[in-house]
Amino acid sequence: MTAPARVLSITTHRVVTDDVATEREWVLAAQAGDQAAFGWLVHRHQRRAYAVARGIVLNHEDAEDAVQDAFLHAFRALDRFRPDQAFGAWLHRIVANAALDLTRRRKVRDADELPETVSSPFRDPAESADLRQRLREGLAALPARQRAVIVLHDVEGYKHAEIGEMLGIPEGTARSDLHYARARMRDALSSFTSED
Amino acid sequence: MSKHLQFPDPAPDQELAAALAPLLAPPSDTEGYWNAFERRVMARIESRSVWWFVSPATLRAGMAAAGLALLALGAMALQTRQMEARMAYRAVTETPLEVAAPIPGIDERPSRYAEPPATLPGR
Repeated sequence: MTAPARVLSITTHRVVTDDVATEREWVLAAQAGDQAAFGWLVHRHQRRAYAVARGIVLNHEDAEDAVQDAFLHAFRALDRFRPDQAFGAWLHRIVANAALDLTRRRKVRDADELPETVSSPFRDPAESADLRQRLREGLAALPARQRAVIVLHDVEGYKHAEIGEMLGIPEGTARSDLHYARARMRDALSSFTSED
Repeated sequence: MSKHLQFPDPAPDQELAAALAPLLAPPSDTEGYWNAFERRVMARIESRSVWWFVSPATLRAGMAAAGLALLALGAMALQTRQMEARMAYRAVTETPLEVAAPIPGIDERPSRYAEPPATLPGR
């Protein structure tokens, strides 16, 4: 199969519009060997992939490593991907496993300091920094799998069955992981608000 | 009861998601950062996958060509071996036999073994 005609123009102009081609067409083009088409998929999914990885590994450098590993793995495994599946869910499964693998191999380091320019739902910079710190500590205190579950469910919006499939755990385990992780994170939030 | 109990999925916790979102963004969440990150990802893919990444069609054609090349090599090796055997056979069968002249001192029998005595002494 030949790649869509606009693939090369996208690599230079980076004007990504959904109506140019469906994701399926890009996946098929990538499966046929078009690296530019895979580049488009990277461009489209890298932010969410990073968020999933960051939620699990907790620091920026490891998140970047995990996402790069995951994209490389996805590229190599493209032949096994069925285009009727959702590419994002398939990719997030790989990302989550790459990140979990990284946490197993490395000691979890302290999370990076976030710059004040990062958007936050809280207005007061001092308050915001304090809350971030508590949330960061709360996340760091969770086991990696529970972090993966809470990020995939509450931030990325996946269902328990999908998360179970992604992480290779029973759906019930995903549910209990979410319950436990939420309680811990709620504690972090409530202790913050109760101190005000 | 064979049916499993189905619990509805709880809705995502929006407040928690909003609080977590800043923690899940890179330090520099700009278009420039993402473009650069994408280039790094693609560079890594290109550097690690040039040797093996071929389309399935090309792979099939390559495998077929490699199979044919292997067959041709096998046939050539067989033919060479048969030719060598034939040449060796000819070398043996078509070379005239030469009778070697006796070498003095080596091919001659020592005198004491030349003729056995007709009768044992003293009998």
